[in-house]
Amino acid sequence: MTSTSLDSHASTSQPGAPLLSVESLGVSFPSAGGTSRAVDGVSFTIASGETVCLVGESGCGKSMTALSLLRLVPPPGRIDVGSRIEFGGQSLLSLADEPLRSIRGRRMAMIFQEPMTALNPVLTVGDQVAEVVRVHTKATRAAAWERAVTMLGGVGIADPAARAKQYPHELSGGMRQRVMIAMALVLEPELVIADEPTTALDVTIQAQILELLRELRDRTGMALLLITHDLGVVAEMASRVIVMYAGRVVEEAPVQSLFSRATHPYTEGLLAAIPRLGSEQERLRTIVGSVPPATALPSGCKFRDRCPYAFDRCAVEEPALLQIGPAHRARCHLVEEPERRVSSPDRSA
Amino acid sequence: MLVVAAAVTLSFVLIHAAPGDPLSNMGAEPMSPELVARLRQAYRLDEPVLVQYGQWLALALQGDFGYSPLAMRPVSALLADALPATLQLMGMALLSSIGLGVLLGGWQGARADSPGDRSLSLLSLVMYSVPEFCLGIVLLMLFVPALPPGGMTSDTADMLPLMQRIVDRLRHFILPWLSLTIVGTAVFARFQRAAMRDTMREPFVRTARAKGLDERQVRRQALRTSLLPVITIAGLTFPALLGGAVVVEKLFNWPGMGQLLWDAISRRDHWVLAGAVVVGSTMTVLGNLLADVTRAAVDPRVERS
Amino acid sequence: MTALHRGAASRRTLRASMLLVALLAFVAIAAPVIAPYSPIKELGLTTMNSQPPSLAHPFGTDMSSRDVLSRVIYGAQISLAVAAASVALSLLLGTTYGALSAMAGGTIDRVMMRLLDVFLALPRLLVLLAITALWRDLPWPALALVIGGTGWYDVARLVRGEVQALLGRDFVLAAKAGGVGSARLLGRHLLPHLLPVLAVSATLGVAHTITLEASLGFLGLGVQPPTASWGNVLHSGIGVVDTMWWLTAFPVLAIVLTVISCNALGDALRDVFAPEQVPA
Repeated sequence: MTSTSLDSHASTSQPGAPLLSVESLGVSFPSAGGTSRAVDGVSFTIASGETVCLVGESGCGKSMTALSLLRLVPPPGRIDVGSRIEFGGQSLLSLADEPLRSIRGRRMAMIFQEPMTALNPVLTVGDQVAEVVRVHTKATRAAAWERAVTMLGGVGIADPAARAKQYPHELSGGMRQRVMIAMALVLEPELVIADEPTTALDVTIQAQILELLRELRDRTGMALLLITHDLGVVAEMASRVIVMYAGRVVEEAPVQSLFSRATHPYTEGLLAAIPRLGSEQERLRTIVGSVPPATALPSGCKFRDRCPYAFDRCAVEEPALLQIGPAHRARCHLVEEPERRVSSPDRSA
Repeated sequence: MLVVAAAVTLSFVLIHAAPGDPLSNMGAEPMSPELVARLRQAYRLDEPVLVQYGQWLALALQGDFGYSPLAMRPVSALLADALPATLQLMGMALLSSIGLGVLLGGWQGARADSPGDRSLSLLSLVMYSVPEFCLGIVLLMLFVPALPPGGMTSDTADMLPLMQRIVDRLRHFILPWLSLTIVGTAVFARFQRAAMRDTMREPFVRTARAKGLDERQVRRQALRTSLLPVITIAGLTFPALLGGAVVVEKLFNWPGMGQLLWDAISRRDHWVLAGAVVVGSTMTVLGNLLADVTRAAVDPRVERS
Repeated sequence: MTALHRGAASRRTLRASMLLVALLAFVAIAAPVIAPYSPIKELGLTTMNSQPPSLAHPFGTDMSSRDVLSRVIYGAQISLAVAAASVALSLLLGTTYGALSAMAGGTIDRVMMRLLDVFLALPRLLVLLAITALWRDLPWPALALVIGGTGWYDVARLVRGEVQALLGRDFVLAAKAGGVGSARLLGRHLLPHLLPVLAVSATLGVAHTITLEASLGFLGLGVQPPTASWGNVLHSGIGVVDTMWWLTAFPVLAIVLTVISCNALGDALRDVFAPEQVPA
């Protein structure tokens, strides 16, 4: 494997075509009470080198979406028929086991949220990073170990040769997350999916990890799908944002447009809830109500029970993703009927 | 250490609490009064109980369990003779049970609730439920006279060349070993299956898949991690395995502790009985210790002093 | 297999094993009614001696001319009686010890647990062998006492673990804040949570006790003839396995069937009560 040259793993996609293309992705979970759809009709693309943030509250389906990309949805969940995922021009969902396996970790990698449980407790961290190398290349044990140690150094771990021989429980939370990042990036994949990589960490460590991700991204030119519920992270990292609610995409926009011209009431609510220094507000603004359970979604627009602007059409017809600007879309009737943007008195927080 | 002392105490209590004098009813025929008197003196049975206890404790902890008048040998010598045979049988059975059980249970756990798993679980249940000696009886009914019905070696063994002696040994060994191993494997398979199934659900397994490992490699990692509780369990099942082994030894006339116990029971040789109880408990303690040490060596999470 | 199928299969196993166990219990209880002959009556010293199975005696007769079928049926009575009594005793002793230890906490708890470790290390069968060898011809209640008295250690450890976990939960805190005393706490609040664990323990304990009783009887200890027990019928068949196979085959069958049913029931109960709640 050569070093950081994008050409060495040129994909089969046409120049200009997106690296990842997801169309009508659905994930269902059958249960005793019926089938619940954790992800419903989600579509988006990611271009080479782009950083996209997937935002939403817990339970909105963002993690399931990410797991679907690597086909790691835990049973009894299944990816619905009719979903399409294309990576580098190849359809991932129809791929056989062996080719799929060779993509995982090598061309598309994932960083998980909780590094303590996501790492094998009885293997050294060096072994776990080296394993990725040995599985996908013909490197010898020694060569793979060398590479692992180098990578551990590359993610900012001091004295990597010694650290590599330690076990996960001997490292701090921040260091464990660096190990996970090392594992994901050691073979310089084209797309890295990070599922809430900083949520389990202290705030100061969070900043360091984000800095690390930015640095690595700039160095290797990888595409990054960053999943988070923290808008601060979005502001720092994203070039484009996708907002999810109840398993659906409700808004997608370039990051500037999202913060300045958020259209969907949910996004509005999320932004309004951020406390701002120096403002004259006395109370924090919240979004009324809570996320409905996947088995009991309301008819029409799924957000209408919590929406300050909901009107009669919202109960009847679920809005489609409507174009607002060049790369900006929102799933809301207000795009077509902006005059309806009047809050009902009982709905504002 | 506490355990050994407790075992010693227990055996003392039992012998002296049993109906009749410790020396009465000993042996198939009544003993001559002179012998009885001499033994009484040797065992100081006429002294107060507490003194006897102190004596017993002191001697037993040094390994001296007194003298068996029926066998005309010190009890400890009898125990020393019988122990290796038992260790051979039990040791081999334990090792093979753990080995097979872990493999089987690991295979099942990785495929929990599949048809293969379900049928194996059923088989496990049956094998686990059959008492070892019942299995031994069934095996005897099936394989005798093709295989010898008991004992450790044939009478003519000493005259045979080495190769044939080994074969002879094996032929005697296989049925008792099988009785213990089949049941033992089922026990460990059940544990391992549960441990493996739980381990497969842990997040690091998902990470392994995301790294691009194939299913076999993933399972191997999971198996390694799930082994640790099994080691501890293995230590804890020692007492039960010992019990099973004892009855099997009787059934197959295997010249080990079981046989010794049986003889002692039928001839009412209480001292041998007491000694055997102590030795059995000691073996259990050692077994547990071994398990703890192994676990500490293998599991990186255990604190090393 | 989906979660749905798994649930249904467990329930089927539960029903099947409960049925089997109920059947066996019925046989044991209804023994006087079902058994064709008295188990201890010698039917004809020379004529009915050692007969192989026939229509009149489906399980044959033994060397004292007793009908083996009846002995096996009555043997069920003995085995199940001993099992039930000893398991009840074990549960009582174990629950009390474990709960007290957990509720006392601190040093007392540690000491009690160390003591328990010592008890656990003594091989049960050896101890039982020693006891039954020294006291021959124990009546079955005494045997049950002894078996139960050596079987409570596992229950104690289990209960202690469960109670410890429960004590950390909020509802206990709330009860204590309301002034509920320890005894009431244990009886009304904690015990219902322990029932699943105890139920599984009980079924597995019955299986184990039946095996123990059979082992002892096989060695010639425990319940003695003429009272019939599966173990001592087996004992009478030692050495004549090739000629009088019925003395061995039928008790083995009975023992194995019973133990399998009890184990299956225990497993099914454990699955139904949610495997996460009941430690293996």
